[in-house]
This record gives sequence, structure tokens and C-alpha cells, in this order.
Amino acid sequence: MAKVELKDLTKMYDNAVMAVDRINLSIKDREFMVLVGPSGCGKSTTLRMIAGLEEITSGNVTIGDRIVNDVPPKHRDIAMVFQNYALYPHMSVYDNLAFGLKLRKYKKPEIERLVREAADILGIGELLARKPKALSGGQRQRVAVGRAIVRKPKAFLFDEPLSNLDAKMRVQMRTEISKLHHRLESTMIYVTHDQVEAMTMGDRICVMKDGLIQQVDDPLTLYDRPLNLFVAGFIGTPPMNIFKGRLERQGNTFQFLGQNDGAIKLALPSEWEKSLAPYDGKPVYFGARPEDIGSRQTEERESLPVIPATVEVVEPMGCETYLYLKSGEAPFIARVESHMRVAVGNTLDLPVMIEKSHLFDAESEQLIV
Amino acid sequence: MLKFKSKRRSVFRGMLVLGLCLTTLRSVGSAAMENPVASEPQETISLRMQTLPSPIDTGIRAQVMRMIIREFVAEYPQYSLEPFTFPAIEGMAMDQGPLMSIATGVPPHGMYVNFRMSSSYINHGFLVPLEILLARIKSDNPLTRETDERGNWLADPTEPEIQRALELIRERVVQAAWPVVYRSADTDRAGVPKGDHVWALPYRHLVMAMLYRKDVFNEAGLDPERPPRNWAEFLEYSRIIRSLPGKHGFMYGTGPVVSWWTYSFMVSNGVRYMELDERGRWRAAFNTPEAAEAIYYLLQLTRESFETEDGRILTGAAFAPLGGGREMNMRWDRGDIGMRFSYLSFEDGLDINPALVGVAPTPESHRGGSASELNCGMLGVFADSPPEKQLGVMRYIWFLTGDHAQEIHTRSYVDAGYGTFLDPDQLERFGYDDVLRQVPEAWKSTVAEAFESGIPEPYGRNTQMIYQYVSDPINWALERPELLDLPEEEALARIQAELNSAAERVDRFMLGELSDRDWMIRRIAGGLVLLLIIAIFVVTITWVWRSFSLQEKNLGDRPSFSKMRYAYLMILPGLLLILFVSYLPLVLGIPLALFDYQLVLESQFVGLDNFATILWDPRFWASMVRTFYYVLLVLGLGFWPPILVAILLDEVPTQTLKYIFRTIFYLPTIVSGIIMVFLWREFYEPSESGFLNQIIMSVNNLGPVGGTVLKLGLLGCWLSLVAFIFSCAVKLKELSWPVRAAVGGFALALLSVTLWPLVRAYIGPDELVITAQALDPAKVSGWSGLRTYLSELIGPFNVEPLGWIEDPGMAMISVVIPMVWASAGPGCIIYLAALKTVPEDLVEAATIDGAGIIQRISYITLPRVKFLIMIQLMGAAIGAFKGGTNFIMVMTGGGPSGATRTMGLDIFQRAWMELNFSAGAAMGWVLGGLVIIMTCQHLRRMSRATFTTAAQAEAKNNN
Repeated sequence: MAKVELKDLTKMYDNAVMAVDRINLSIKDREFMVLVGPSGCGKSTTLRMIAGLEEITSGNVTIGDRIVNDVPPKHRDIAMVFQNYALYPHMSVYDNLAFGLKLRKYKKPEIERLVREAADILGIGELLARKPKALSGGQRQRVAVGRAIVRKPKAFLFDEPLSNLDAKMRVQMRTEISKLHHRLESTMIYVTHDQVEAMTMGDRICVMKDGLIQQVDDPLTLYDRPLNLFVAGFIGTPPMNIFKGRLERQGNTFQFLGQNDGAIKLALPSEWEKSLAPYDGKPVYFGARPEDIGSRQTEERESLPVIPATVEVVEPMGCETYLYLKSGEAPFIARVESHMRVAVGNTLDLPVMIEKSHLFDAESEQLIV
Repeated sequence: MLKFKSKRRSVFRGMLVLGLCLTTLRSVGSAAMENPVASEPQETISLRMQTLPSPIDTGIRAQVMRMIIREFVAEYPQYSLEPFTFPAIEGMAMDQGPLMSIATGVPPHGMYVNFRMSSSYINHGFLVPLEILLARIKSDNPLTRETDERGNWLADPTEPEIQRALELIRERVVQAAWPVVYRSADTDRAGVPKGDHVWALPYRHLVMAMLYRKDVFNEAGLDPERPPRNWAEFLEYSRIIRSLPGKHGFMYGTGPVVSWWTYSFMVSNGVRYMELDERGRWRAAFNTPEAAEAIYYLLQLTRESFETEDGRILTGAAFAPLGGGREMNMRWDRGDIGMRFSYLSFEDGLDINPALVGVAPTPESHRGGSASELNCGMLGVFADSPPEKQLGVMRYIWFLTGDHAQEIHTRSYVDAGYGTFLDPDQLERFGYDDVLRQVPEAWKSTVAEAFESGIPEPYGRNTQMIYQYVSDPINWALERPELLDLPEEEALARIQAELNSAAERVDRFMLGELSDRDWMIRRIAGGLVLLLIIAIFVVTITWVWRSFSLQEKNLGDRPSFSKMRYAYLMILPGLLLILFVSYLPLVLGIPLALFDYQLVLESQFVGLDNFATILWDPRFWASMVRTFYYVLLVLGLGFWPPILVAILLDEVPTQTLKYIFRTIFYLPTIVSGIIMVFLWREFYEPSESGFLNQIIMSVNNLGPVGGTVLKLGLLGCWLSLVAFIFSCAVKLKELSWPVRAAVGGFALALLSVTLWPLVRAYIGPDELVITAQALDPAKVSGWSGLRTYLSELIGPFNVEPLGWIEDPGMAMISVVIPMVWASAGPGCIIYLAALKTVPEDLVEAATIDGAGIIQRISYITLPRVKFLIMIQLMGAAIGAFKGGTNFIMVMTGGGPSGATRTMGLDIFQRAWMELNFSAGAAMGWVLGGLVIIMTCQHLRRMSRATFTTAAQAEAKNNN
């Protein structure tokens, strides 16, 4: 088991595209780190540089206490699970699992023991004699994971391992990998573009965009305090509502004015005054999560600012209902109790949990409060 | 420079071949337009003649010929002459061209006949007795020149008329050639005229003479006006010339043609290669003490050491490269050779500078005998030509050999300044006394003697093969200079023994007479073989049929005929084309094996005789073994390079480099096959100046240290290669056992090739060397022999020029190398495409699992393309069994000494060179039986294959 450290890690491709731009990331021993971001953000490239499949343009990758920049993949003592499973089609499941051990010149009985052990962990003991062609998607993914764990490497690398599975299987495998992590207590680096996977699995999550790290935090911090507009919009489903507008001083407090003045007018808490002072009259973004709009706590309702809006679509989810609304020109989503009776075309005044909302600098898109 | 030059030559030759093909097409076209029915006199009768000058030839010979032809046409305006040409094939000269044209139905009407081929032409009924045709022309009865509707003569000339014609012909044939010209056919095949006849008329005489360079004689202090007159003097002169730096006294070619180059020595000592026995059959006659003496003399001339006047010891006075040819002519022109034997033809007017080159008769033997060799170019009339054309050709032949044409000929050559070397008789006859006085006396006497008592080139039955058979004992002796260390009687006895066994082989081949019981056994064996082949065909074809129809069922409902009407209609033209072009000839060819197939005469049903014959023919078995050897070489050397190249190309890191390398490897494909062959033939030039030999011999300049280092280095590389292949077989446990066994077997073969010289060194030199040089067997064999052999690893190289395709031991591998070279590039493309279907992440997964490049290739890449490799391997094996024929044909023509004669080529040679189409067909059956098993397995595998593109494979892998 080992920590993994990335120092000023950079990847530049031939055509001068900066895939990964001087990122610094420190992954602790036994940590489950998720790299998440939209496609093309550099997360897979980062993972592949850690694995040694991609050459490093500059910077360092440290696994354990060793800089591994020039160490070939086989000597980095890592294992990787691929999106397409990458099982050796002409070998049986047993041979797939045993392949790495054979190459590392383990003794036959030892191989047998380790393969059985891994197979038992993953519940694929019955499948050992089969060829990958005869397996279902979930089984193949298990074999792929088994091939990784059988060697007991210092670190596991997962490259979008669940994206080829159907939704149900994905949820199941998700929990299994989480369980595996607890059981093996090893360092795992997991790349995904699915923020649900990231939230549910990661000890910490590293959000990336355009080759840069946006934020590294545990899932709840990431959810509650996104450091910039991108993270705010990326984490959470449905995503955070973002309103464009500007700040206006009103005595010792500030007020957020929606873009087409008048429609949205939100008084901001006075304790924010200090941090908001430099932004007087400047354009900002106001962000509020759908569940913070149209709140259920009625006792607070009176004191909260409201957004007037028209209902466009109603999506009952069972336990709650999503409302797709429009206030002036600005569309947004609210998550309300399912018993709330609303019809399309209704006009509502929706209270906003202003304490849980955020303001972002329109220029730098960084979090203000 | 050298390379560039040779390339240009090959291009030129390639174009020449193409041109010849086009000319042929032209003749085919004009033949098709001919009117086959007897035509009226006013209509022009076109006569297709061999040996007419080519339209682009502007040499004096061609000009004179054209002049004669003009005169002929002026005298007989009803005829027009049309040149007959056919593409020449390497190593077979002009022998087989007309044969092919006869088989394809566009034969020449006037055929070129030489002594060697005459017997075969006569026995196959190709030639018409000329004295009868002449008698028709000369007859008083015009009906002898007329035919009825069906082409039968209305009347025949009377016996006195024929006798008269025979006398006329007799006057025009030189004494020495008469036994060749006037003889009976040595076959009793129906349709061949019985009794003695004139089959062809000589129009060109070749006399073997000795040429010597007067400048070289002067330099060596010899009298240029007094050439050597006997063997003793000849040897002495040769040695004197040899003592000059870089010069040789005499030269001749060795290898399978050595018996041709040394024929003069043989005939001078009274040796004939073949003779008619008391029962009128041709027998080997070269196993005489005289022949042994001649060979011994040759050995002295070529291999014996002697001391020069200034005390140096030199070995061999004659220059005797393998094959001869270009290198020899080059040396002669440079003045590095003192004397040579050469055919001189006075019809051609010799292009010899009398100040520089002297002409003399070939020297007398120790026995005091002297005989000039005589050879003639003759013209005959093709038997299947329409009667009026037969008459036309006869008229032309008679005109060409007649006084008028001879006068034109003599006059033209004298006018052009070439008169000195014309036939002295003719000069006298046509009144060129002043020219006659300039003719060297030696030449005059040589010609007179050759015409009177010259020894004709062998002309008996099956003589095409005689030179090869006689060459074997000569080469045997020339390879054993230690014979000279023996007492002369013993050496002669040993040579005699070799000659005897060669003669026995010839007799067995030429007169294979069998008792009825033997025939019975052979026929039964032939029948069994035929049954076996038929059984194989039936079983395998049903097997394939079943596996295909099984698949069709699996595909589900077959669409109804009415739905597929248009589809069937559309495949119809293609189907018919394949049936007619591929299958019809195949089916028609099958019964050929059961007949004695004749081009001109009536074919006869002979049942199983052809199978019986080939089964007891050592040549058949030899060519079968050779075919397996060839297949092994082609697969062993040629099958894996494309795979290796493809894998290497696939591993090339950057895209740009990938394109560059791919282009480099693929580029040779654009070189057309025939040009490639000629290119490599130039590379393989067996002399010191040959391209490859120059490269190989350049290591001789390395000196002792460099030589030792390189020797040990090469040995190390070789041993590690063998070790690597072994370790592949042992270590790659993932591979299936047959593959591992094959790889291991390959490594074992390489190892045994490596160890064989050590075994040889341990056994020691053969008994002859030990006896001749009075060696102590204990010192040259066993451990001391081994030690001597190994000590050669130290010190400078001493590489002799290699014979390549001229050396029977190397010929096959030399033929295969260019094929491997040419096919590696194009062959790798298909593997490269397959390698593209190997998913990138599989390779990455293996890398992370700890696989190095070798393991990655053997565990991931190769298994992915295993199926393709198997398919390709079977295809290549089938191709190798059947194929390569055309390639070998142009490369070596099956030679030297049949060393590259695979079954395909043997079939070709039997059919076209020996006109034994039926034996060829029987061999074809056997070859077919060998190949069909593999072909069916191949088809079955292919039928199971599903082909996916890289994208499909990717998608499939994802699911």
C-alpha cells in the first residue's frame, strides 16, 4: 500500500495540446480517490501517466517513496482496470487472472491459491474455466477487477470501469468496488465522468476541467462548498441553478438583482457584507441547489426571499417532484415535496434558502460566498 | 555502378520478352485469318518460317538473309514469308518454343532443327521426308503437286524421281552431316515414315576450332604463327601463358554444361557420347578408357600444380568458372585468356581480327587422334502444314541452299569485307580467288576436315539429356584434384568407374526395356496409385461439400429461386467464364494421363502405363523429394518474415516513421516479377565479379584479426539465433504443442546443419583423398580432424566465389531467397491489417501485467492473428506445392543438373521438352492428390471464418 503523489504533472501532445497542465495532487495511503470531469478534461491522461502507459511531459509521479517517471509499467506495482475490461480473449478466466503472476514467475501452487482467493472475493469461482466470450458484462468486469487484485499491487487504477454496464449492474458493481476497497484497504484511483459514481465511492474527489484541477475535497464539502462555478454546476443532479445578475448595496446589506432587473430580487444575509463589499455593482452569479428552492420548512418561509416563477414542466419522481420553472428569462429547477400540488402554468413565489446559496464572481467564476 | 548497369540490362531484357510475346500474338492473329483450303496459285501463300531475321536486326547476316528472301519471292511470287517467333525461356534456348506453338495450333511451317533435337522431332512425326517433297517439285507429273478437297495428294512421285531427288540433296550435304540428315526414325510409332529419309537440310555449318590470342602468345614468348598442335604442346603453352600475371592458358565452363565445353577433347581422343548398337538403339558410348584419359588430361590442365620458369608453383593452367558465359567472354576480350575453343560458322562471316586472333584446328590427342566437331543449323518441313505450304517451304529450303542464294551470300560477305572466313569451296566456286588466297591455311584445312570427317554433335534419341549425364563424371573428377596424386593408372580406373555408372544410368534411362511380368507389377502399382488419388479426391471433395452445405443450413431459410432470379442471372456470365477457362481444360486434361498423347500423330490409349512409368522413374521421385524440400524452404525461410516485418512495423513508435517503413517494405512489389528475376540473376553471377560474390568476398580483405573477429561474431550470432528459436519452443507454453513442435523442429534442423561440418571433420576426408595423398587417417579424422577444422575459425577469411544458382547444392535456396525477398513486403500488409484489430487496451493490460515486448507479442498479438496465420500457412503450403514453377523456370529452368526441378517444373519439362504430355499429366494427378487434402482443409477453415473490420472487432470486444 502506498501513497501516490503528482507534482507539477504535465502532458502535452505533439500537436501542442495541453492535456494535463501542471497538476498537483496527493493521494494518501489507502485512500479512494476519484478523478472526475467531463470528457477531455485530462483525467484519463492523468491516470495513464500514473500507470506508465503515457509518457510524462514534465513533473513527477511518485508511488510510495519512489519517483516512477522512468519506471516501466510492470515495475510500478500497480494494477489497472480498463473501461473495455481488456480481458485476453483467447485465455480462460483462470489464465486471465494468472497471467500477471505467471509473468512474475510465481510458483504454480502459489498462483492457484491467489487466483482462487481473488475469484472467491469476487464470486467468480464458478467461471474460472470459461473464456471471456462466454461471460456477461458484469462477469467480465468482475474478472477484470479480479485480474487487478490478484497481484496485490500497491495501487489500483480504474479507468471508467463501469461505463459499459447497464444502469442496474452499474449500481451493483459500484457498491462492490466500494466494499472491495474497505476489504483490501489499498490505494485506489478511480476515473469517471459520472459524478454520482464519484460522490458515492470516493473518499475524496478531484474535479478536473481542461487539464486543471478545479477542486479536491471529500464528497460533502464538494457538494456544499463548490469552489467555482464549474464544480457547482458539475456536482449534483439536477445541477445547481445559476442565475446571472449583479450586486447592489442596500444599506448595510447587499441585494442580488437578476439579469432583466425586477424579476429576481434577493436580499442577501448581512453577515455576507464583508466579503461582498468589493463586488458592489459588479456582475455576479447566484447559485442555489434545487432542493434549496421552494423549501419544506414552512416556519422559515416568511423570512426568506422569494423568486417568482412560472411552472413549465412538472416531473414527479415519487419521493419528491422536480419543477422546471422560468423566472423572467431565467430557467431553473426546484425540488419540492411530492405532495405539493402544482400544475403547469401556475405562478409561484418560491422561497430560497439563502444561507445555503452561493455567489460567484462573474469574471473569475470563483466562489465569493 | 554495377547495380545500376545490371538493372538497366534487366529492364531491357524484360522489354525484349514482352516484345516477343507481342510478336507471337501477331503471328497467332495472322494464322487465324489463313485460308485452310488449298488455294489457287494466284493467291499469296504465307509461309511461317523459323530463323528468318527479325525486322529490327540490321546486322550483315540479317541483311544478306533479306536479300535472299527478296530473290526467292521474286522467283516465286505466290509465296510470302513470315517470321515465326516465340518467347524464349531461360536455359532451353529455342528448343521448346516451336513445341509450344505446335501444341497451341500455330506451328511454324518451316522448322528449325538442330542435331540434338532432330531425333525427337522425327520420332514425334513433326518432319516430312524432304526427298519426297523435292521429288514432287521436280516431277514431270503435275498431279504430284495437286491435292484433292481433303488435302490428299493426287499422285505420288515415282521411285526413280525420289532417287533423283535424293541424289540432288546428297550433293548439298557435307559428308560429315549426312548420317544425321539421312536416317531412319528410331521409333515404331504409327504414322512416322518408315525407312531412311532426309528429314532436314543444313543451311548453316558450325565447326569447332581453336582460337588463340596472338598478342598473348607474343607476350608469353610463343610463336603466334605456330599454335599448339597436340595435347602435350597445348598443356605446355597453357602453363607458359598461365605464368603471366592474371592470365590463363585456356578456358571452359564447368557445371552441368561441362561436357559440352569439353566435347572437343573427347572427340579428339575418339570418344563418342552415344552410339547406335547392333539392334539400332542409341546407347551411351562415353565409358571408354579414351574418355577417362580425356578427363584426366582436363584435370591436369585445370587442377595440376606446376613450376614456372622462374620457380613459382602455380595450380591449374585453365580458367574454369561455373557455368561460363559472360565472365569468360569478358576475360577473352580483355586478353586474359590465351586459347579457347569456339564454333565458327562461315555462313556468318567471322568478325575476327586476323592480326589479333589466330584460328587453328583443335589439338591432337595423346593417341594422335584429331577430329573437329561439326554442328549444323537445319530446316525441315512441319508435317501438319497444308500441302501447298509444304511445297512452299521445300522450295524455300531448296532455294536457300541452292547456288543462287549461295552466290548472293558469298558476294555480300566478300563485298562487306568478311570474305576471309567464308567456305573456301564457295569462294573458289564463285570466283573469288583473290579472297581465297587470304584465307588462313589452318582454317581451310579445319573446314575441309570437319566437312569430311567431323564428328557431329550427339543426335540420337533422348540426346537432350546426354550432356547432363556426361557432365556428372567430368565434374566429379574436376572436384577431386587429389586424383592427380594417385598413380595415373589408378586415377584412370577411378574415373572409368564413374563413367561406367553414368553410362549405366544413361542406358537405363534411354533403353528401358522390361519383361511382361515387370510391366504387370508396375501397372498394378500404377493402378493402385490412381485409385488412391481418386479416393482422396472423392473423400475430400465430399467432405468440403458437406461442411459448406452444413453452414448453409445454419444460415436458415434459403431464399426461393424466383426471388433470386436476377441474382442467378447476374452470376451466370462469371460462372460460365470460370467453367470454360478453369474447369473445362481441367476436365479435358484428366484423360490425358491414360493416353500416349501425340501432337501430330494419333494419340493412343495406353491405360496405366504412364503411372507405371513415372512410379519407376527415379527422376519422378527426385522431383517429388525436391518439391518437399522446396516447400520446406519456402515456408521455413519465407513464411515468417512477413509476420515479423508486420509486427516490427506495428511496433514503430511514430506515425511518420510508420508510413516511411511501410512504404519501404511495400515498394519492391512494384518491381515486376520478370525484372526481379533478371535482377537477381545478375546478383547471382557466379564469377568473382558477381554482385553478391563481390560482397561476400570482400571479407577476404579483412586480414587475420578482423577475419577472426568476424568469424567468431557471425558464429555467435548464428548460435544465439538457434538458441533463441529453441527457447521460443521451450518457453512459450501458451502456444499450442504442434506450433511449439514445429518451431522446435526448425531449431533442431538449424542445429544439425550447424553440427554437420563437425561430424564431417570427425569422419575425415574420403578414402580417395587419403589414398591419393598418402595421409594418415588418424591425423585427418577423429579428434585431430575436428581440431584442424576448428582451428580454421582463427585467421583470415578465404572465401571462394559461390556458384549460387549454378551450383546444384545451392540452387534451390538461391531460387527461394528472391521469392522471400519479394514477398516479405507485400505479404506483411495483410498481417499488418490483422494486427490493427488487436485492441490497444489489451496490449496495455498486458504491459501492466508485466509483459515485455516478446511476451506481449507471443501472448497477445500472435494469438490474435493466429487464425490468419494458419490460413496463410496452408495457403502458402498449397501455393508452394503447386507454384513457384514459373519463377523457377525463368530463374534456372530447373537446372543445374535438375537441382531445382520441382514436380511442377518436371511436368512442364516432360510435356514441352520431351513431348511426353501423358507422363506429365500422370504426374499432375499425383501432385493434385498431394495438394487437394490441404486445399480442402484450407477451404473448410476459410468457410468457418468470419471477417470483421477493426471497428467491428472493437465493437464486438465491447459487448
